[in-house]
Amino acid sequence: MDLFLSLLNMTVEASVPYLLITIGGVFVARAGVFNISMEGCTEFAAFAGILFTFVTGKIWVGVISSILLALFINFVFYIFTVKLNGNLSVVGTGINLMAACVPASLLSALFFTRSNLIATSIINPANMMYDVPILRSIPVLNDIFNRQTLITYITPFIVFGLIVVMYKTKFGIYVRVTGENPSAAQAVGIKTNRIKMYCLLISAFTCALAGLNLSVEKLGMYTINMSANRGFICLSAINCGRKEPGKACIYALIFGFVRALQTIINNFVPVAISSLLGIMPYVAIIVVLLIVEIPNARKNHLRCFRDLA
Amino acid sequence: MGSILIQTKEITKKFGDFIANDKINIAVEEGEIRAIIGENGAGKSTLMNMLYGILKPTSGEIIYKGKPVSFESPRDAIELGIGMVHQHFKLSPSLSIYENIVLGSETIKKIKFGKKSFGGVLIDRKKEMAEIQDLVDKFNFNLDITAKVRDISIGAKQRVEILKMLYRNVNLLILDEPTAVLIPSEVDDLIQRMQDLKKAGKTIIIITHKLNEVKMCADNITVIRGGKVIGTVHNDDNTTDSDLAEMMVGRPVLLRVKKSGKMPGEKIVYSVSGLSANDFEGKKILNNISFNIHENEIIGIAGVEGNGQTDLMLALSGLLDISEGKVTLNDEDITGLWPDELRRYKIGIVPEDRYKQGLCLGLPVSWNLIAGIHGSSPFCVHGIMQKASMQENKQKLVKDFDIRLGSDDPAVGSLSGGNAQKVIIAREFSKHPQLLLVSQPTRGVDIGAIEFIHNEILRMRDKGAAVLIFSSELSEVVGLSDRVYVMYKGEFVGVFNSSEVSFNELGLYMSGVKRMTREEIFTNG
Amino acid sequence: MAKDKTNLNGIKRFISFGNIIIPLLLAFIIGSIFSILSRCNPFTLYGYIIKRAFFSVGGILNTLGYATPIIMTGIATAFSIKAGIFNMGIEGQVFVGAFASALAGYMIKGLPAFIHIPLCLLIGAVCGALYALVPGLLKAKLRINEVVTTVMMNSIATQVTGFLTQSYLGTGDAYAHTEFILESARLTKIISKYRCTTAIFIALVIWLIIYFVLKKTKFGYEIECIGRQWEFSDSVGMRVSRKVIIIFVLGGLIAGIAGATEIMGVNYNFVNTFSANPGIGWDGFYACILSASNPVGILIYSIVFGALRYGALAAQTWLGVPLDLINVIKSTLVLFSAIKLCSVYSEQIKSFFSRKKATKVAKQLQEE
Repeated sequence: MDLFLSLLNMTVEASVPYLLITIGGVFVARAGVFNISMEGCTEFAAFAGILFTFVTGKIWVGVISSILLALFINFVFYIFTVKLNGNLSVVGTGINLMAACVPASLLSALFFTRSNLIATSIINPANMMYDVPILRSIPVLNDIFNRQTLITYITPFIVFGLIVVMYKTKFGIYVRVTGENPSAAQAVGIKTNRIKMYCLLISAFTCALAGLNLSVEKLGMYTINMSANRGFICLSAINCGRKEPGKACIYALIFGFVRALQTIINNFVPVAISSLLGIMPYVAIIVVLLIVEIPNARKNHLRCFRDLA
Repeated sequence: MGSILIQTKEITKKFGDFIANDKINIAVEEGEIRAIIGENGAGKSTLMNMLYGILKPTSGEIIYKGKPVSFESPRDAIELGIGMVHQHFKLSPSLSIYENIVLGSETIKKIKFGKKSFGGVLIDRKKEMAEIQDLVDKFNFNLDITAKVRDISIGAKQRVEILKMLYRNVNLLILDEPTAVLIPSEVDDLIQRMQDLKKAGKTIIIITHKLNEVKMCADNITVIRGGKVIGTVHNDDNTTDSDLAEMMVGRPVLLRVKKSGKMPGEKIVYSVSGLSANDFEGKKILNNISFNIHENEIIGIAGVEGNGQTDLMLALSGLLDISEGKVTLNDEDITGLWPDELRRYKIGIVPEDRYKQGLCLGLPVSWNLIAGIHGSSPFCVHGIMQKASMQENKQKLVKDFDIRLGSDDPAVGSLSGGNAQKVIIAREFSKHPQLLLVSQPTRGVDIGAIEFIHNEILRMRDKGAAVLIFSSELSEVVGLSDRVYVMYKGEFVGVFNSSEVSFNELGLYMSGVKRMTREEIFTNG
Repeated sequence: MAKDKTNLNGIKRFISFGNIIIPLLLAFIIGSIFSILSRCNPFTLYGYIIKRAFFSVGGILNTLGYATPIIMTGIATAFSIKAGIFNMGIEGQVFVGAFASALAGYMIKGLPAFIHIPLCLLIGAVCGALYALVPGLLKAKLRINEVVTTVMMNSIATQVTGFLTQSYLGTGDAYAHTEFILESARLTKIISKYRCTTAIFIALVIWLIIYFVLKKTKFGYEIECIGRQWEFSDSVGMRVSRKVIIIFVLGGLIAGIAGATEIMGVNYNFVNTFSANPGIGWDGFYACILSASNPVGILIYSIVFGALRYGALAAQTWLGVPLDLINVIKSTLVLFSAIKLCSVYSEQIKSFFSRKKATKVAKQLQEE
């Protein structure tokens, strides 16, 4: 029972970055932009959060600069793809590749190490967890939800808020129309490029929170390849959920659960095998994709190799 | 008649070196219905796009209600009271009708705080729906405003587009090729609606190339050719169709297709029996389709767009799985074959979507002219492409089919609609097919090329081929074919001898009002 | 008129030239910033790399040695990119091919070299191809986006091979590696001290074949069409889904060979870091993107990247400049080459030139 509760607790913790990246990514996907650079954006945000915290000694500087950097990256993505007509996949890949080498290169240039940057002297991960008084008195919920980090607590509000934005506000309708029929939007004077930009900035903000959650909140340190393909995993969560924010978030939770499962099993197996467990999330993705897509492929009678709407 | 509502003065639009509109002067009076006619590429749409703020004129000015105006975007035009309904509807299929109508000017729920109210963020659905329902009732538009746009008919979509403009209180309504996608009864309905709007004080500009409809509704007719105004005539009994056609093209044209006296043969070339297919959701999109084509025969398929013609074409050209049924060519079973296998049976296929399925826009003409037969001699020997025979083939076909190329071997994307279509026609007709499957042969093609393509199709028929034609232009289907099948909701609901049937009769079948039984179709067909 | 045309061609050439030069300049500027951060004069660095990589026989051989697998992975990527498929899984296929050939290199015993070498290459190629078949099938049959699956499969490949070398197939040494391959499975070095082996000839032969296939054959024609318009290719009967699988498999085949030659020519055993950061599969990807899948461009970029790899390694040892700096330059190059700045502003460039010509003509008239 304890094990099950700690699994759920771990799921809550592990799902946060997935949920954040997914909900922001849904907006981008709905606006008709295929963005594979969420991976790079998260990585950069995680790095910047620790780097600036470490350099200035103040967490809030790290947080703000991390968010600003993420916004800047997606703004560059917007300029390069939407404004200058660059190929979406190439620009996205370029950003991802930069995310794989710029932190390493800066670390070795500034701190003579290329694997990690430890800021636990400033950030105490134990202090980042909040003990919520109301939860403390409820037995099961206390084990699952209590003593999580701040971003974990605000994530449900962000997710719920963005779902409301998508379905109940002007902006949400504009986003959906922009992706579905851009000329319909332009005909009534909606600036589709601007909508795409706002979506990318929303996604940048959520990616930044995800990155901060990974590096600043949970560990107080940055290690190379910290986002560990979360961007790509969320991309398939979005695709599996057919770009519906609610459904996509459910898939994000599934992937969070697999990650939690991996962490739990890790405690019971020898070190050698634990390195093999690292493939669990990736295998889970492929299995989920298969489960989702096989029935669709069965139903498809078109022999044309056309992207299914 | 009232005062002049909108006027253009020496308005010119250049795209690079190409002059799309050359010093155009027109003036439209308040409360009039003005038709602007011209061929494809004559510059009608460019002119209207400038009036609506989509394009900016290179020089010249637009005067609206006596004041010169300039538009940054359609939004500016709408604010002044100019609205446009495009030929390709600008609607979002997953949204409901009322959401589409209010798109871009949604009502926001105010947050009440004591006596003061603040701007909120959430949409006030109730208020919006009430407003739109009022509008629908006022103009008697007969729409269920909560229905999703993807589920409604084309005529209804057009009404939604018009409502979208009326909601924005426009005075001047521009309709771009409004009848292109409508069945005859819907056309009558639209013309009636235009008269109603005129009575309500609206001014209407209608762009079209269909002369008979212009004659039915317009007060005045302006003809544009090659980016210039040829003349404006008052619509009375003195102006005839052929006069207008001559003004449009610049030379006398034949409005009717001339068929040879040759009669269809006895031998059945192509036979389809009991063909059915399902769509993504498992719904039947083609239901028990059966027909035969004899040698020297053209079969036409008429129907409102979206009633399964596209799917039938896909199924017959090997791009859609068939759930039931049998297809034979000269008594050989070719059911369920893939496109590459079909091509080995000498079947010429002119697909519906020229620019997506028919041509590869980025590649040169010579490459496009061998697509589909690129694996066979003389273009490919032992897997190696023969550039020389590709060039030879290009030169021959360009000459035979009168394809006008700008340079030696340009990318197909740079050709005009007519020439691009001729590339497909040349490719598919030059391999001496026994069977031709032709979809929308002349959509977006200029009159000269239409004549040419029609004559080529008839020539293939006279040489003994069996031909199947799909077209949204009813006159084309009826004019070319020997027999016409009418399609409604994925089924054949009637078959007629095309020399004996009237358009109105066909319209009744196309809209599902009348239908023949299966036996009647079988015996008549 | 004829003169006008040559002038226009000149401008076109200027534009395509600018599309290559501007990203290069920007990337080198960013590289210089990072170089200065690492307390090294960028010009010293660039000069050092060029000197080490090209100005001695050993340098050239080492450069070619590093370039060899990149040529293969580059051309493997070109296949799919040309067909509009973003196969980012070359790196994973390299790993699988390398791992398989490393096992075959020591497990199969008692064969003469002229059988053992081709056998190992073949096993590497087949394993790479089989590994590529998975995303190929997923894409062709189920329309699953290939970017996600291939990236996932890269991680799976590195982790599984790493796990196996660490546990079951390890030798128990301090660092995890498989047993060394037999002499009979090793490729000959051209000069024993330097990296370049006979694998360079294998790479060049593969490059030539693919060049020929892409330019001259029916398959090349079909790839050209598929890369531009899928619906068109399907409706004229090219069976795109079938071709997609073939393209993935061929890419995997070549990637597998690239991995195998690295083991058989350079490493002689499988260690998880053999395809050093950022990996030879990724370098091939860089080369392919930068040259817009043009085979000649891939060859040139592969040699440049080989030089950078070798030069950067030397620079890390002798100048203390981190290796990642080179990767920064390469990835910024990819990012900036995605936007063809000169093409975007081609109208402005054209009008600039014509204005310049007009003033020239006006001046001439004045002088007359």
